[in-house]
Amino acid sequence: MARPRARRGFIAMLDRRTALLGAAALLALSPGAARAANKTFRLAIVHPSHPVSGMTEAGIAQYRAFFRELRRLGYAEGRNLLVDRWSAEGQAGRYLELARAVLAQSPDVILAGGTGPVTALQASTRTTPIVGIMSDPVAAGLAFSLARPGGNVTGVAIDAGEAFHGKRLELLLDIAPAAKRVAYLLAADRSDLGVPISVLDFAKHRGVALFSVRIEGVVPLPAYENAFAVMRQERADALFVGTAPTHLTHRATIVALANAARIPTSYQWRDFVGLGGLMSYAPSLPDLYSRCASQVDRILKGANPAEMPILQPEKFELAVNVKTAKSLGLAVPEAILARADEVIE
Amino acid sequence: MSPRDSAETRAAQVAAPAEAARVRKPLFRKYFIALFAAVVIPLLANGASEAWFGYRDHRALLDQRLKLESAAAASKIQDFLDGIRDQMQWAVQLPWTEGGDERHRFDALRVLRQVPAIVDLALVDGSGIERLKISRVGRDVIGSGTNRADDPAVAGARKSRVWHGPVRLNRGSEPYMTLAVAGNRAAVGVAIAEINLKLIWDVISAIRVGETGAAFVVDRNGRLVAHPNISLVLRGADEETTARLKALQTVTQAQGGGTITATNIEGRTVLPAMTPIAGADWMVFAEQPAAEAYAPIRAALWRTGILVLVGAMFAALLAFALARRMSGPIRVIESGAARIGAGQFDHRIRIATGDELERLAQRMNDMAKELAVSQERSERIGRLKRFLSPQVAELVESAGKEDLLGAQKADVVVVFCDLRGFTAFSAKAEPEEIMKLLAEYYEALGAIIMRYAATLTHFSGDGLMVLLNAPVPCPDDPAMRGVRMAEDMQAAVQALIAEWKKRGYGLGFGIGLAKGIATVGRIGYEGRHDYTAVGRVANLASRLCSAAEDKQILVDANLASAVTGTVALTQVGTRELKGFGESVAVSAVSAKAAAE
Repeated sequence: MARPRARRGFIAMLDRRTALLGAAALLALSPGAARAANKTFRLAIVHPSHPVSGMTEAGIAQYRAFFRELRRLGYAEGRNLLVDRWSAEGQAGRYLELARAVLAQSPDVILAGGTGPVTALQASTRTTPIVGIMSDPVAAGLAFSLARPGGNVTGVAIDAGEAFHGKRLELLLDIAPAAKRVAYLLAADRSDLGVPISVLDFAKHRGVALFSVRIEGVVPLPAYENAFAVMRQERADALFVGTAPTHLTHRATIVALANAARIPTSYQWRDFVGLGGLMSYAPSLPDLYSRCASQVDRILKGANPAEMPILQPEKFELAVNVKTAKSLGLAVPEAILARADEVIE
Repeated sequence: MSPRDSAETRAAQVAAPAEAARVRKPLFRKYFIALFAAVVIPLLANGASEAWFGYRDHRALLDQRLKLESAAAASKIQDFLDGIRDQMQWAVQLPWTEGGDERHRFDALRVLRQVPAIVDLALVDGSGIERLKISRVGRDVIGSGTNRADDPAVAGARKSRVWHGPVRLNRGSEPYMTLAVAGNRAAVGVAIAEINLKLIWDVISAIRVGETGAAFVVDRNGRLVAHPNISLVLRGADEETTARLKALQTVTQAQGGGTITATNIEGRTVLPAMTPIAGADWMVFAEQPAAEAYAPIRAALWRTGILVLVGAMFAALLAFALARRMSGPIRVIESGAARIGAGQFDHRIRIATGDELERLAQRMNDMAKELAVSQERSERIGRLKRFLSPQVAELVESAGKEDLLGAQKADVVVVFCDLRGFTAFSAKAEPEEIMKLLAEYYEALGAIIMRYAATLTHFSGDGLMVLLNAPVPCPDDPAMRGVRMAEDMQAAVQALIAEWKKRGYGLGFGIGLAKGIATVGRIGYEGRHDYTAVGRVANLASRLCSAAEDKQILVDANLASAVTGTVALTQVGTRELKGFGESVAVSAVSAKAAAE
């Protein structure tokens, strides 16, 4: 009720009171809205391998989606958002050190990719809210349940149930039906727990042999070359690249080695397929990151991460590189093409 | 102390208690209340009715709008489900044949591509055998041969073409629902899809009811299916939210779909409206926070309230001014009347209102003027009455002939009388006795003097001097009148003397009368005036009185000649009188009168 005229006595008082009440009600109703308008928030982005240069509004697809959603919700970097970007650059051993550095900046909220960094961050703070992109936060002990995480970690759970990894093997075997010996590539670090049970189960169901190959060594190229040498020895006719973040860092090396070895390979992320990898199947990361953006918004508006359910993916992306298939001498079945969200020819 | 001073003192005395004793129901208050009420009551009535009808209209509008909002939201949700159903129809168009699975597989894959909400899709043939199952996350199964004829989804879809399963939570968090669609004939079988209902979120979160209101969906079991705050959905049912949802459903249903105020799932007070979705047996609620919904009516109430307040203040000022205007002059008149009543007749009430009150004040001023005149006159009469008989005094006063009292020569009859032996008596007797006797004496004489309209000039002790034919001429012969008066006086006093004798007082009474020219007029000083006659005739009368014996009335020659023939006179010869050089001829009124 803006009144242009100056009034005297109790009407003026009334107006002042109304205004105060109104302001109080506004503050009570949307504390976040009032704060978002005039406060600068500090957001930290942490990823095991993505280069910090890619974590921008014009960078990697998922970050583009993330920042686009944040902008829609009223946040813009430089105006009311200060972003610190951190990357472990593929070195799993740096997670704890990284976590300490991140927290030293005392961010309002942290967006962390990967179960490893989230675990390291949660080991370092129980108060700073963390929005994580995790495989299975309940299994990793980061959350009490998906519905009620109960701590300072919320976010998204990429693993759409244990069955999902088996699904990836099913799709690989659909493209390479002749494969009988499938290698599963494990990372060197201990965060890679091994072959998921659903993968083993599906291999048994389809009657294919499945064995794991662990990367040994620190220097990337020789380590991966050694792994492929092992596969050759073991006469592997298909490769399943595991979920360890390290692989994403060295995706070019892996794709090159796999294509050179002429092994039909299933990767987790589309990034590999763009580089010439045969196929990938995973939840849509841009979709998940844009969901994370809305979670960041709610946390900045005062929501408690302990009460914010961890989201499960609902959109999955199958990418197939037909060119690679052709060079490998494989005919991509119609059923796969019908399913594929992206076909690279 | 002058009369003026005393009047003012009395006025002050009267005015003081008038001020002190407050009026029980002051006129000002009555006028104020009446005038104020005359303006404020219609104002309040108008304000109240405006507020009430405004509230009712707004409420009706709100009801209508919320109902529409919920219907619109319901139709969007219905569209979401219908879209899925329509896509699923593609998978149930071809009849099942041996080895025809591949076509169906592609149909199913296409449906999955088209509908992101479908997590997996199973196709059952005409006999209820599951022929294939395609999944986004799970294993694809082709030709499992499972008999699903008894599956409620299959049975339900066969019965009514479309079957909606109950909502359940995937991994304790995300709501899923089974949707089964049958083809247009039994041979094409049934498509059974698992729907991830989280995707309704995109629909529901895009719905805005008012500024901050929202829509949400509840299933037949009271479980939250969709809500803009997705946490509420994904957290699953806790006791508090379930209770709130149940309460909301109950009140909404009790209201028959109409709008009421209720507490929503987040504990805010809202106005909810509900529209059911028939197939899924869901309920779509649209709710708007009560604070927001009522904001316009509240603003209108404030506006009306402030207007009424301003109006009331204006009315109060107006009533105050008018009441003052009306009661002010009345107070002036009241205090004026009090002053005049207290004798301050020169007080004038000054009012210039131009109305009846001014006229009233004028009347009172006139009255005061008249009162002043009449008081002055009565004071004058009072003064005159000291020496004139009341009749004469009135005459002198009313005729305005006070100049009659001025000094002049007049032919008067002077009468002196006194008691014989009074000095001796007064030396012996008690003062009370003396005064009692004098009182009887003067009472008797006073009545006679008054009867004869004679002028009493003075008295001292037992003697007194009376004048006739001055200041006012007698209507008849003054000499005759004087004699008659003397005779009456003698008779009256002799009666008293007879009485006194019984008490043992030996007293007598004599009268002397003389007629002639004397100087008459007022003598004395301010505040104490007497009327008297000065001259030979007065002295003569005095001496005659002294010379008179008890029961005797002596007259001089002048008087005797004036009454000769009418009154029986006895020549008593000449007398040597003190102060008169030559001897004076004296007559006595015959004792016959005295004997009577």
